[in-house]
Amino acid sequence: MGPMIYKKKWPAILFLAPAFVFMLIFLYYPFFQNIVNSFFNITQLGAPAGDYIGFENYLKIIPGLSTTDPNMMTAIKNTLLLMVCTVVFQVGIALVLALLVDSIRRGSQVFRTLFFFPIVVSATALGLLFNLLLMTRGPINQIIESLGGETIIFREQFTFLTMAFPVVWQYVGFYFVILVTGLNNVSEDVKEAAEIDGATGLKQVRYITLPLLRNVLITCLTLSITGALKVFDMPWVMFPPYFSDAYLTGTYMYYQTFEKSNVDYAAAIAVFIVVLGILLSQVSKLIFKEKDY
Amino acid sequence: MKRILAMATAALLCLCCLTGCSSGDKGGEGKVSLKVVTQFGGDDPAAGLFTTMINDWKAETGNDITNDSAKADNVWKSRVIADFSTGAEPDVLFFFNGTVVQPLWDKLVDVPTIQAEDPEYGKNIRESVLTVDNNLNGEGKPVSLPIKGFAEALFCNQKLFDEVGANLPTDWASLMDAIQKFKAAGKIPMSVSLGGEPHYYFDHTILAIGGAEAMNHNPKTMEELPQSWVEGLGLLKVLYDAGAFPTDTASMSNEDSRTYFLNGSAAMYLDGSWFSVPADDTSGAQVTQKDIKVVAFPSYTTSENEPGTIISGFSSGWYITRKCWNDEKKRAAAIDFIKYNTTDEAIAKYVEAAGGFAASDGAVADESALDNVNRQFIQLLKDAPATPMTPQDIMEKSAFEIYLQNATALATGKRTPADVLKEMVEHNKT
Repeated sequence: MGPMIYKKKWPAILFLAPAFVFMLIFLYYPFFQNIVNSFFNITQLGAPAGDYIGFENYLKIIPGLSTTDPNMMTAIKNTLLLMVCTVVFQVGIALVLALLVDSIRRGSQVFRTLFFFPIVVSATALGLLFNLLLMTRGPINQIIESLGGETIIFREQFTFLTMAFPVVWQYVGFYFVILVTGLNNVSEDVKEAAEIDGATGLKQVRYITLPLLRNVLITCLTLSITGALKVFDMPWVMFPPYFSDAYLTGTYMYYQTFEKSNVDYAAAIAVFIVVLGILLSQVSKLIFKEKDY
Repeated sequence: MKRILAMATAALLCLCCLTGCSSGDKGGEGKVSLKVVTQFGGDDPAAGLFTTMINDWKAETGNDITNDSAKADNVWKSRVIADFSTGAEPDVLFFFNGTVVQPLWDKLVDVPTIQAEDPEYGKNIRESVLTVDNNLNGEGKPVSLPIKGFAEALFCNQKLFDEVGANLPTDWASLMDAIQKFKAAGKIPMSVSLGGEPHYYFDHTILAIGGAEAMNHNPKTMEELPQSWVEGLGLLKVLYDAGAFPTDTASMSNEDSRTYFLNGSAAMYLDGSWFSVPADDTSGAQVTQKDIKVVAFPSYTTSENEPGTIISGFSSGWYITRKCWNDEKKRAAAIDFIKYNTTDEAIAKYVEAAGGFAASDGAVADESALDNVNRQFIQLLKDAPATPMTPQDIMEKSAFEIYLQNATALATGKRTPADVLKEMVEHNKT
């Protein structure tokens, strides 16, 4: 092996081909077929496409029309709110934790493991755990009642918070690990130089650490924005299928597919999720441009 | 060394891929492998028995079974139907009948065709069971071989009834009285998740007002819509306003509603004969078989609904797929496997394991093997003046979904029964 490996193109093509074929069959073909399906009436999963229905499904997704599906509007509103929460709280809390852990000399490994732990537990198990905690006759309400308070129906009185809190909590550890890795790459020489120049504590964070962490933060933001669009398992476990106040775009798509067998509408929702994901990630890239240092 | 390792890994992967391409024929021995999909999976009470039946049949015949069973729910139903659409259907299926199986009729072999090949197939199953409306295809031929029927009734926690001094609900007045007493005692009168599994209350509120006759409708126009359905669904609001349901009935899961009943927080729970109640308190269960009294859902109008009427029927059965039928070797094995699972002895075992009542006269379940709940169900069936089927089995799925989506709105009064039923009828036309 020598520099000739870069001149011959066929080994690269040969090794890339299987992955490309795999993507073609299992990602791009289904995706384009899904777009086609959204224009035809399909009443069962896997059933052949029926009559051409044009943009009927997409008219349900556009707000303000007589054809607008109110449940879809709830799903979009909840998803966008969840996205804000993931950006602000998931990445925000992860950043604070990462900075704190980075500043300590001993025991940082323990905190890394502790904060990362919720990621390892399945979302279904966590959903069931939160369900048990938040039931009207669950432990949290029992504590509230023993203190003389009124029973709180968390899933109805605080639907969004009940859904968002576990989701945010579970993935803080994921962004924490990414940010800690980013912090490790900040050169000790730079930090020492900053300290000599009088930049310590919060000043160092503001003027040295955060600017050097910018690219990692942007990656985290993009991941959290696209990740919020895909949130499904935990809310699906935590709420019953016909409780429309808790719909997200992901759970509503699943509901339309498996509970209602309205496959064409679910396909349109899937297309909408992809388009929204691409748009929002592009917008975030425009706002937070990566820089080379 | 690395090259050898890479080549060995590649060869292993190829071998794994090729293994998946097996035709199911076990080679020159003439033995076959059947793919079987049933509802006897997960925590289904018959799951253990079915596994034993499979192992025994495999040992007797030398054939093999790929058991892909799971607990039945809407997602499972959709997956089974999707498998047919993509050509990945099983050889043998235990599945629902009624409207849900309609899209699969041309991919399933009807019972008379199988009996032409083997006259002993399903011979012990009662004719009246084979020919119930929801088991007939478009040509009027039975499509599945049911083995046991189900019944639905109100599960009551006798211990709680005694505690609050309420009588078991035998009519609407005693039901409302019990609800008030449980409410005053801080107990949930009737545990139900209206956001998760409200369908039992569709059947039973209509039954309470209209009786067995009201169950025999599948309205496709407003003229065909019985007034008893409108009045019946109105009872949801009556019960909700009386405080019968949990405060979080709209947002709790069905598992939560079962938990409320089984941990003694709720006094009543409406479900079918398959509802599993712990035998004893060894697992720490608060409510066990001995605490349970099963009663027919109370009548609202005794003139229309004769007390003791309970919803009952045969809603599932065995099927052989056409794909399997066209394979000579598999055909014989599939018939043999289903016959093995539908002998009188086998049916009796299924009844003993999972409740319900037998589809054949010769299948006599050992009553001592039945649990307290199932013994009560058998008595309820013996005493019932009528045992209608639920109309949801013959309605269009999209039409019934309208009710499922609006059960909470009906209970809270956000939508009226007439309004919701009008929408249901419009979706039931196709």
